[in-house]
Amino acid sequence: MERTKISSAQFFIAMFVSRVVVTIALNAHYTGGENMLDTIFSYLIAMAIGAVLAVPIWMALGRSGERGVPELAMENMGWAGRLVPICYGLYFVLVGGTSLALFQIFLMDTVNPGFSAGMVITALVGVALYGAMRGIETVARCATCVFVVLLLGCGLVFSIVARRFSLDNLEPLFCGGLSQTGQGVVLFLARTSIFADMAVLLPQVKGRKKLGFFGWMAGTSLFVGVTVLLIVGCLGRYAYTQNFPVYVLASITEVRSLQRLDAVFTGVWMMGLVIKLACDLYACRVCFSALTKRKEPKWALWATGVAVLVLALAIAGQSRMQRWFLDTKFLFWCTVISGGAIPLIIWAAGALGRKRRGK
Amino acid sequence: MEIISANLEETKRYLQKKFENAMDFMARDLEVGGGKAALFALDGLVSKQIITLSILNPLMEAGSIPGDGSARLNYIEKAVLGTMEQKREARMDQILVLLMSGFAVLCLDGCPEALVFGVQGFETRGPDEPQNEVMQRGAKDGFTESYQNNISMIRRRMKTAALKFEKAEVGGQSRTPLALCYLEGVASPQILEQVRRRLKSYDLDTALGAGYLVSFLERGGVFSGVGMTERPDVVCGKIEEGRIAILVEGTPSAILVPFLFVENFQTLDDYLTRPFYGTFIRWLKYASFFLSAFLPGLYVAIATHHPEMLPEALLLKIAESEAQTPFPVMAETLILYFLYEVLREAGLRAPRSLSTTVSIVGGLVIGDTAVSSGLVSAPSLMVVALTAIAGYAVPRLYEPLALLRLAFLLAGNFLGVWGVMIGLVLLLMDLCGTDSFGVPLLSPVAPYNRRLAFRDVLVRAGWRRLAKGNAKVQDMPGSREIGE
Repeated sequence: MERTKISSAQFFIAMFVSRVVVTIALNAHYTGGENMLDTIFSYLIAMAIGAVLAVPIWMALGRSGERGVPELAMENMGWAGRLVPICYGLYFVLVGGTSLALFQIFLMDTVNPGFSAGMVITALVGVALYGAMRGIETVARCATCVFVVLLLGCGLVFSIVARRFSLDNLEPLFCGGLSQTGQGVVLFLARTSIFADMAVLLPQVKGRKKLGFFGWMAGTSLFVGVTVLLIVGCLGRYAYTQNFPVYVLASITEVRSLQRLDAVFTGVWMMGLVIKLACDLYACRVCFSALTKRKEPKWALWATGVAVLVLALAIAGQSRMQRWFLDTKFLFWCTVISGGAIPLIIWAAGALGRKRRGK
Repeated sequence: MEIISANLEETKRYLQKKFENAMDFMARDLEVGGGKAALFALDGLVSKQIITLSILNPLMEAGSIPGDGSARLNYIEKAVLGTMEQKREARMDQILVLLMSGFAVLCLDGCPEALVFGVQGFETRGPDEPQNEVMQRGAKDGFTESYQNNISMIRRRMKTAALKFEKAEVGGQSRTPLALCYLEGVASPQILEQVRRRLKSYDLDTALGAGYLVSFLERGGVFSGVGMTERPDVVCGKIEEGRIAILVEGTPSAILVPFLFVENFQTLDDYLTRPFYGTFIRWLKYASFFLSAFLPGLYVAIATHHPEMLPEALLLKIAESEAQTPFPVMAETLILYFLYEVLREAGLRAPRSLSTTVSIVGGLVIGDTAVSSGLVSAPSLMVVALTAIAGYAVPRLYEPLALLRLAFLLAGNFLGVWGVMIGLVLLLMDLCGTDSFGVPLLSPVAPYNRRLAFRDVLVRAGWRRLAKGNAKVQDMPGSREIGE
């Protein structure tokens, strides 16, 4: 089956946008302490671990990289291989649902708009579905445009708010020990779905993929570093009491007569979220395609969209669901399994098969 | 397929039956070279003077011609008649089409073929300045309804043998002729083939304007991948970049394919001014597009849901004017927008003598009375007026903009600024997912190509730079071979 291919730059820009969306929802509660500066190091360590975690993916996909991990599983593992696309599909529904739920929680708790937050969420899923239906090329091109808007939006907010930066707000690094850094590493890896995305979508990417991956790591590290530094430097202790400190950062910005740029910030977040959801939904579509061996069925996309929406509404609506699905450890293991363990198994199964055939 | 009969009487009867009750059908019996002959034509489509001077007079003066009907026709064709456009035709259906295209048909008794002559003599409009594509510095001639005149206008500007005009026909009943105009060796053969294929899929009986063909050429999307122009100089510029122009008989504009989104912002004036000013104008048009599409939506969204975004002084002014009107901002803007569209349509359709009156009355009623009576607020009126004016800076996009504005208005009312943002992403998705004959509509912005983007999109580079390098439309980033 011949598939449309996107460039490595387009893919990793889409992944960058997805990552930024997750970073925006960062808070002290999740990073596990009262010195958020440590999380910069957490992110760097997470990226180093991520580079290692990605090795099985590169190995499994091989040199040609024409088939994704779900397709390879179906090929090399018989009936057991069917579980792999199902697992990846469920993982993408989970990732999409949790990202959306976080946004809905933000809307309900922090912004409290005059209209239903559910309506916003539904509209977001609708747009993401439309993008996923048009294909990876559409999503990737749109991601490039959103990337520019995101850089401009964040650049505007960050450059304005930078005037409030005070060195007095910075605290010594690792003053509370290394546990917070460790917790940050787990958090960042837990909220990263790039490994699963790579395992499923990389066959549809052409060009210098490894360079793109390292570029993504460098770019997101820079973004996280600047964001955290500004949160701490501008908000000081106030940041630790906020559920969404990046939002607070945006809401205190003002350019002469233009005040309260938080609506712009939320809009930019939403644009990024649509790209992330569209990528997740499209990845689900590819998983279904591998499972049914048919060309990316559209009904599956609709079903996935509904599943993501229902999961997001359920998580945002019930605290028990939040405890389960937004649990960092749970998401961390999901990342490790989908990004490292499964590709490793697939690679091993493939290597074994090749060895047997060689004999 | 019916072939012309060698019996002249039979041919006459056939044509008379076909043109029964058609008062413009003319049949003239002649005695040519010692045998019977007849000349057929349709009144009003041919020039009687040309027929008399170039056909009838030489025929009458020809002496006796030996041989049968076919031999006489050969002799007449080669030695008697000297009209430039003449050919033999044996198929009856073709003869009918030619008759209705302003040809005269000469039939000889005993000859199973006819001679047809191009003696068109109908009135055509002169090449006036295009009404919808006014230029400050460009040429003042525009296309007319005759596609042959239009072909000559292009040919006069491009004296190269690579310039091709391929003839085709659409419409089961109207058999409207059209010409595919392209530069051989520059236009993509795949795109050309695709255009031919899509034109073949045209299954309407008539093609009364180029607009009929557009829906058979484009493939969905909010913004069309098919462009139109009334200017021969624009067509020349476009075909030089590998595009294909379609000239349709009876339409004073040419269809251009593939047509990218950025081309909606490009006018010939941009290239006739100095680069820095061309770039400035280009950005002005981009800003106008955004203003026209998003301003009403953002105004309603901010005034209704996010007043905190506005500076205090402006917020107070808006609140003060809104307090004096009976409608909410959304209803007010919607009513004003609706009234504006009604006025525009009325101004466009009203007889020319009345359109000024319509505009004055409309302007007075809406502009003055509505505000002073307290029915609508001045800020809302200003927003709608600004939007309308900005829309005319990019006239090619007026149709999609009119509907987008409405959509963003509703989105802004229901979901605030976020609704507008969601709408923007949806629009971006649509733009990014649409292509025009395999060329991405948003190219070279998405997919991005720095060289091309800084050549004629983000900046209008100088001619020295524009002259260098490849700018063929089929080589835009992300272009691919297309198939149905």
